[in-house]
Amino acid sequence: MSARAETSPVEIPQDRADQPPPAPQSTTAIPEPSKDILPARSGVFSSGTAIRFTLLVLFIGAGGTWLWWADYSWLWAIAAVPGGGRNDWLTLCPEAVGVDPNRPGSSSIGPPARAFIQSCEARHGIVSPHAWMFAGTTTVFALASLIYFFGPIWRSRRGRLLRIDLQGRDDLSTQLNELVATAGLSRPPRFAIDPRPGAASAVVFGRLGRYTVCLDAGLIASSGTDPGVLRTVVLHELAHIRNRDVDITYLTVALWRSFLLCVVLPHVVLAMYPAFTGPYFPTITEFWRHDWPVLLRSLISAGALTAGTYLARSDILRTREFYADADSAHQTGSTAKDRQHQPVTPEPIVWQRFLDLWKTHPTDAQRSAALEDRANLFAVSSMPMLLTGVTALMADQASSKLLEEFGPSHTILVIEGLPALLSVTLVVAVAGVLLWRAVAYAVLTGRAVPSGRFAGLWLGTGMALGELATFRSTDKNVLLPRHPEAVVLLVVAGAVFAWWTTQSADLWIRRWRGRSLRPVQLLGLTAGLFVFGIWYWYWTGFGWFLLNGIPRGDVPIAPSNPAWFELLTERASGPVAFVGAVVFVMFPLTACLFRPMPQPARWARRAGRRARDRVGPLNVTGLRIAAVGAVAGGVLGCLAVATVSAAVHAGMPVLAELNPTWRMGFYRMWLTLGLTAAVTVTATLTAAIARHRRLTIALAAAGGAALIGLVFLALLAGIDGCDGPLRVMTSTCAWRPKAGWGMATIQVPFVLGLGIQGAAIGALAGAASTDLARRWLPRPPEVDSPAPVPALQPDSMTVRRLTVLAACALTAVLVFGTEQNLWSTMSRWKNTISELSTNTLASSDMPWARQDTIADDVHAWMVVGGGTILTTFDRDLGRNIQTLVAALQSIKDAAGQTATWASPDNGLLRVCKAIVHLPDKAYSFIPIPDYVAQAAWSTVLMDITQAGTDCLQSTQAGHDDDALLKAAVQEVIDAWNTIPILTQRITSDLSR
Amino acid sequence: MDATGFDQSDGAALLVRELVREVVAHEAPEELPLVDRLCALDDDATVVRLLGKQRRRGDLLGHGAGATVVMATPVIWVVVNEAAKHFTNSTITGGGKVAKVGLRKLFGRSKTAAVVPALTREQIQQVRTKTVDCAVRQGMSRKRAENLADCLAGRLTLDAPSSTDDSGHVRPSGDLPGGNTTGQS
Repeated sequence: MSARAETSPVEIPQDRADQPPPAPQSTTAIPEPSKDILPARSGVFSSGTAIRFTLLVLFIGAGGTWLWWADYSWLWAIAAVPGGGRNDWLTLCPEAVGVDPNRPGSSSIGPPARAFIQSCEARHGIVSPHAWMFAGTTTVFALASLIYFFGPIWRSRRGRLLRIDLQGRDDLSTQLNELVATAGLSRPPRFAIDPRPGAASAVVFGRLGRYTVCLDAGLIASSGTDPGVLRTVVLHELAHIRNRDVDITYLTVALWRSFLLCVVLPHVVLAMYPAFTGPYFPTITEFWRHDWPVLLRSLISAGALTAGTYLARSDILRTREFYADADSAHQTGSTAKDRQHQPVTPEPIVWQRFLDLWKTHPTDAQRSAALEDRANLFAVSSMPMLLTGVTALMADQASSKLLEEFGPSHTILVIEGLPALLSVTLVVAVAGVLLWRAVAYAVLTGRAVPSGRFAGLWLGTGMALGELATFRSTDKNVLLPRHPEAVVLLVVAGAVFAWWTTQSADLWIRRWRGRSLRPVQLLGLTAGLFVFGIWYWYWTGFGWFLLNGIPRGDVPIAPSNPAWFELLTERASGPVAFVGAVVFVMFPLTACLFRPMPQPARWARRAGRRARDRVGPLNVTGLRIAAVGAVAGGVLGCLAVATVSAAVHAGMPVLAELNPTWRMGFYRMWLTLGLTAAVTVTATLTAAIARHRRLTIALAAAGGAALIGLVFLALLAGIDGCDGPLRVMTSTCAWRPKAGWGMATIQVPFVLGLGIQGAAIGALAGAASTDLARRWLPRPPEVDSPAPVPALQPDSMTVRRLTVLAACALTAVLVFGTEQNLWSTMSRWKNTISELSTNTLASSDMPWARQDTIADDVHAWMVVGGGTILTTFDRDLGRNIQTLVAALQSIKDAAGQTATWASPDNGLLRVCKAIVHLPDKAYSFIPIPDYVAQAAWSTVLMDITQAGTDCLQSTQAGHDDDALLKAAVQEVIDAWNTIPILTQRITSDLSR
Repeated sequence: MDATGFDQSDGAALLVRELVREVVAHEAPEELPLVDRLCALDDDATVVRLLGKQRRRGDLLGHGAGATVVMATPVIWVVVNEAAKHFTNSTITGGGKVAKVGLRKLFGRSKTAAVVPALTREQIQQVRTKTVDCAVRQGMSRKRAENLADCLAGRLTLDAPSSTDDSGHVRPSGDLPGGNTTGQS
């Protein structure tokens, strides 16, 4: 939580009239503003609540529709299964093709499997409740509109309020007219008095363009003894109007109430109603007893969604209050200076602070603190960060479900990435804006720039909680995934992102000369989209495996390497990961190419003279550390490459048993790990040593070290064969620049991609350990803020530009080589796979077939029709064999006659045709989700087809091939005898 | 004057709202904007109903001091209104009249202004006592409450008859009911 200054609220006297009238008394909780504040209406900073409100609207829309879908599914499940029960087909249909319905990565399912799932679900009545979801979501927003428009009418209904005519000549009307003019409103609102006894307060309500400021009778009474109170309170309310808080607030509340009525209430009622009434009671209670985690998960998801919505709403409303306070304090000016401070109240206990989070108004202490030190307004508090994290993950889940139900996700893979992109955008937009404005305020006022790591930890914690609350990575009947500790990576991701954002913002803001910070902020947020997007992309691709472990048989690529490495390589080898890492390193460094401002920038001048004076030049001494770190790390990388080569060379006699591809895979893996370790160690040590902008410096050092290491690898591989104990690929000495180049470029996406992300984690660890050490050691605490240093020398700028440009050029060359050597090959390979998978559905087209849940999958295959097909096939084959034998017997009995095999009256031709077409149905059905069983099943089917064909050929007119017929009969009988073995395998699968 | 003790505005009679305004102008002039706008309402019953309710907290976009402000207007208006009803022949006897009053209220036509009858010294003393009790109960300091009550009693004394027996009004015996500004009207 952001610590706000501990100033006390100013209590209103119980009986104001008892006080001596001349003495000005404090009547509100507004203290005197500090001297170095920004003008409240400078327009340089936005409050950032508009985008949070947008987030809330999207969240309610997506979440509400998701719950409507869940309600529909629940109703369907109760209605579809006699006596109530689970919606089994939703699970069985995907499982029958080896797909876990709860597991991400559905894009890897081949089109035939997708088609089967769709047809299977449709056959069993599972259709997307489009109308239901659409109507539900529309109802939420329609009711919210009604509440928004009719709420003010209900509030000011007849006899409740006393209208104040602003055209009147009494003192009150005159004073209100003056205040409207002071507030700068083009159109005055309506004023009214609520005559009920109460506090000295006021409230504004209304709808778009029609606002009413309602003054409490207590406020009127107080104005006699303290004229400032009316002015302060009314200006506060008018500030709400000018800041458009009225619309946002009442829309937020209307949405919330509508959400409660239309979504949460039906969800809870539907969840509880069948459990206590109706004929399903025994079944439902049995269900509760056995599958309580399923229902508990449903309640936790709905609860998290509701709590998140409510907290987001309260947070938005509290923030708007702070800004209205600041605005009115700015306008009241001298009045605020006369306010009296009350004794300091103790810091509220944790429980009270927790309760405060749910309130729509800040406490008096928080208001006072925000006014006394405006930095509190710009501090990145934990609550919005936490909520952003939670809502991003839940919105991802909800929008994925919506897209699955509404969108063409089964055909266009790009669209499947939209929910993740939406979540990334929300995180970057909300958290990024908060961080940028915090940094901008610190730069402007010469304060310490926040590191953002602590706020980022809250963001990451929110994402971790959101991930767990979606239950998308847990098995069916448990509450947690097998390795819940893996969500720590999300926490780290949040911290790194926030840390990077504040440092980038610091560097760029100090260089920015424009009138507004919006363009550079937009630039920074776009870069943040890449940076955080890559983290999230890694998580969506690899998080499931981290949380649940890698199933056996999933990655049968290179037995020489562990499965996790192959999976990671597959994910990290794409150009997307590389681009993200390049932006990660280069965006903050690019700011160093520009000179710091010799004069205050225009945006700083807009914000005020005092603030302008404090904008200091950029401290760039850290770049020297980066250069030294890059060289030292490069040496470390070279050592790592040499060590790996020597070790592989020494182990060659053992490795020689592997085929060349696997051997190279093994070498490649250790080179990757060695270079990544070197890069990570470089970043860790650099961050530990550097004093300022530690992440930027550490990333620059890590990037430089990676480049040096890759160049060394290219050289070493180019002379492979000449270097004795480092010889790995060949034994003949020659200069092979192409081979060396190829070896290095294969490493580029991983080392300069995921390796850089690892370096960021290392930098975080290094900085944290240094901070801890500094805290323990008797030294003054260090912050990430630059102290003003003398202006830069021209030559240092030239060197810096040349260094950065050289690094960019080398990176570009490596990217070009990687494109030629790796990415173009990868895309061709993927296209081939895609083409193959559209042709036929074979066992090899089930990359997600799960070895660890084979019993469930085979059971599902049997239930969805496999069992019937197997039984029918066995029965029909037996009958055909009987018919075949009978036909042969009748021919034998009629020996000596003129009948031939091909004679139409002996029935042989008919039975042969039947045998040929016997496997047709089985061919068109999905394969068994067990490789071994499917192989046996395929053999049976092919043998029968072959036998039928032979049978037909032997009976062709003119052939009468006795030997071929006998062979065909034998093949049929052999295949028939194989079926019990297949059945036995399936039985053993089911009993696993 | 009807059986309820309320009558259409009579130029000769002292209206409750007039009395309240005079006292408030003297003791709490800062509340005059409120009293003036309350006087614009036709119906004293509506005024008393509004003043008798406590303001609910927790408004969105509401702002101001947290503590309740103790006001003179609700105390005086409610006490004087109660006195006007009590010390006037106010018994509604016929069912038809009850229905009539009810219907008039239902259709918003019960626009009547209460009249303060002339009170005896004992009655004025009762009103004073009730005013002090009510004000103190609302959180007002005793000193201010007594000032307020004295002012009210003084104004009532101006209209008091010279002899308590020749007033011409029916004065029921018994104490004035407790004036409470929280819904006792």
